[in-house]
Amino acid sequence: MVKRIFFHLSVLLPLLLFMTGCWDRLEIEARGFVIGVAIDLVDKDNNDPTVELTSQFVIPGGIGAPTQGGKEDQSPYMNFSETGKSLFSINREMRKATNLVPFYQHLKVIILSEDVVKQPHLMTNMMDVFIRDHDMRRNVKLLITEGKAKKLLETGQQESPLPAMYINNLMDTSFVNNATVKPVIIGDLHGELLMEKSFIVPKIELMDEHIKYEEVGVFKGKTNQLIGVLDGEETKGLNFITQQIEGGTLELEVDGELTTVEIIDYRSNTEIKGEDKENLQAEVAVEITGNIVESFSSQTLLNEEYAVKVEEHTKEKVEDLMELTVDRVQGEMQADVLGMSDILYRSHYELWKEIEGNWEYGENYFSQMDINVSADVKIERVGASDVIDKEGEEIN
Amino acid sequence: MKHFEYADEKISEKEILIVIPSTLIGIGILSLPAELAGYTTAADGWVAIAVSGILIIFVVWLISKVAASFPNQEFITYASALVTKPVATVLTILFSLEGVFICTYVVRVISDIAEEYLFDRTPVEVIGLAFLLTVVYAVSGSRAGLFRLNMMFLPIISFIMFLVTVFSFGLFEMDNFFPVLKTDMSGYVQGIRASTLSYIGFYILFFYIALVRKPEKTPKMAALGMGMTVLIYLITFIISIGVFGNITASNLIFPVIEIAKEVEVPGGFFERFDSIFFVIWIMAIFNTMCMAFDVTVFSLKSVFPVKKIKLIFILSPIIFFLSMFPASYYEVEKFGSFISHYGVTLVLTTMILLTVALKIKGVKKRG
Repeated sequence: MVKRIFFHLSVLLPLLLFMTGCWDRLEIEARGFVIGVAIDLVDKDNNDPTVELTSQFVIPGGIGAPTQGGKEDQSPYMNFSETGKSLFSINREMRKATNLVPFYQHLKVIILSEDVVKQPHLMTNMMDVFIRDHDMRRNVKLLITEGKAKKLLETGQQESPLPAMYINNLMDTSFVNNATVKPVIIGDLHGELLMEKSFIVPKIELMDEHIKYEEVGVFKGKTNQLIGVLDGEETKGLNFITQQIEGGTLELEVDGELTTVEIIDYRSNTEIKGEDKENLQAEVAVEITGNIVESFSSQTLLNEEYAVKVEEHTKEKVEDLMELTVDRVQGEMQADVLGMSDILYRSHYELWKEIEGNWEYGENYFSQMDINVSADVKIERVGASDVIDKEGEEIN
Repeated sequence: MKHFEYADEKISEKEILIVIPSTLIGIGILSLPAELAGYTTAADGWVAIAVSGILIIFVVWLISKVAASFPNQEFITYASALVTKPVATVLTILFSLEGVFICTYVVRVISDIAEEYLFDRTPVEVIGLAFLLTVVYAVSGSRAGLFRLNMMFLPIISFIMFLVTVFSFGLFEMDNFFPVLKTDMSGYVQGIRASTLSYIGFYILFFYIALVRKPEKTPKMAALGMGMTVLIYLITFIISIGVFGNITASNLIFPVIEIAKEVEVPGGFFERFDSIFFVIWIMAIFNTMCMAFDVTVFSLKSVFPVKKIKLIFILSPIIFFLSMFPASYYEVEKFGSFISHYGVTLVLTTMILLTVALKIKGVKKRG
């Protein structure tokens, strides 16, 4: 009996040795949580461009709650740059220089310099590792910027000390501004790259200490390079056509007075008619419901006639904005970011298969297409008060 | 230590209902949506899953019908009665080979997935060995116990599937489902072939029905179990397309894992849903492998009069070394495709052979 117990112990005790831990154990202190990445162009040798990758690591000690005193002089983040040709090898290079192991599962934003994305195909090559690597999540937001991208990772803000988080939150909260688009994430981009479609990526700009989030970059399919930027007004037009944003504002002049209409709801619907590929016609119809939120006018707003007037002005404004965008993307850019190819694919599949190869290139059916826009506006409310300033009356 | 002994090693027809989805849901379902999306347009792959599903439900029903005609008889016994002893023995050995292949493939794929997504630096061999040892431990125990384990795990697996489906609704894009039914004929044929091949494993019915106490209702139960499997396949395919769209889904290697990575419990309260998904999914794959291993032991035991534990100790090293044999992802894929073809051919041949023989000879009572 005793012998048996000894036998069992001699087998089981050595087994304990194999149960002591995890092969992949990595202490949390040794991990470098990367929350933002910026990519700049160093040398645009055409075949073999060199890029600079900047990673933003979080330093947990620097964030500390203010009540605990914290170490005031310690920055909550650390940016680390390295140059090279392949992002994966740059990443490995980084391990030589820091004692942190880069950990990308909490990556929030990728910022690309315009210089990088203007090169044909370079954008695709840079994105490959972010899509392929299992460590990367598919909801990382993508941005472009003019000038140095890594400068954006250095903008300290009082309210959010981590630049990458600041940019991330900025994009999440500006959805009521129709001069911006819905953030573009890596997962969406993957689909667009595979379909060789033209696509958009929002652009941010550094203004002194603050960041301006407006305008979008347009990328042409196949070469996947930046071919132009839509400004704020054109972006509004794009939003009305493709229905990206939930709300937004429009400034109009009604009887020479400035009136601001807030869009509370809108539905955009595009239909393509005509089976003749030479003569495609698209009808874009937008239905808008809005409120008057600001008015410099001294007339009563409760008057239905006035509301009709505002509605008409809004309609005109919206149609103008959409036409502006349509002209730009059809004419100068010849890039279908209006989603027309999707509609053809979904509702006119056979026709689409026929013209697919000559959509943006070759015969260029996209630019030949007739796009008509129309808007239908309904003003619902005028705010809590009618007339704030009755012309002259208070003085008399 | 005292072992809990089950009264007898018999199961009820309800356990047959459970064992089919438990065995079939495993690895195939993780990558099938990608393959199907490649062959078809938009979400048309559901047609392929449904058509092949109905086909296989019929096959499953027929298999159970044949096996249930000989209540409480093992495969080798009733097959010998129908198609002579030597043929029955050869068939049994061929089926055990399929079992060994499935185990091999499962060990390899689960280790590869675990290494890719979970353990960066742990060698594949170590992960594979750990998994295999767990399965060996399970199979060494009671057979009825394994069936009860299936019964316990399946609701958990269904629940996690349900969670993934519900949370992925937020990521759905209706546009991904259009155009409808634009796939050409060859696309459907390819799709049906692919989904039929992914339903390997139901051959266990040939063997396990012998364990059912009263097998009158088993054909119905087996068909129902198969129907459940097809339904889960359908749901998985539809959420993969809804979330990613056809082109992206066809480009991902394991769309289902990517969905699990993408879904978040609303409110940012739980971001890393994939970690839970993996835990549960390994349970599903564990079930698959347990049944495949056990049925192999069961069938070999009917041919060779060796003790069960001895068979397990002979098979385990073979499975382990075979599983570490393919050098790359491509070779593993080729091996997987070979197993599917081999399995489907074998099952269909056996089924036809037995059904025809049964029609000619009829059931001999007490034969």
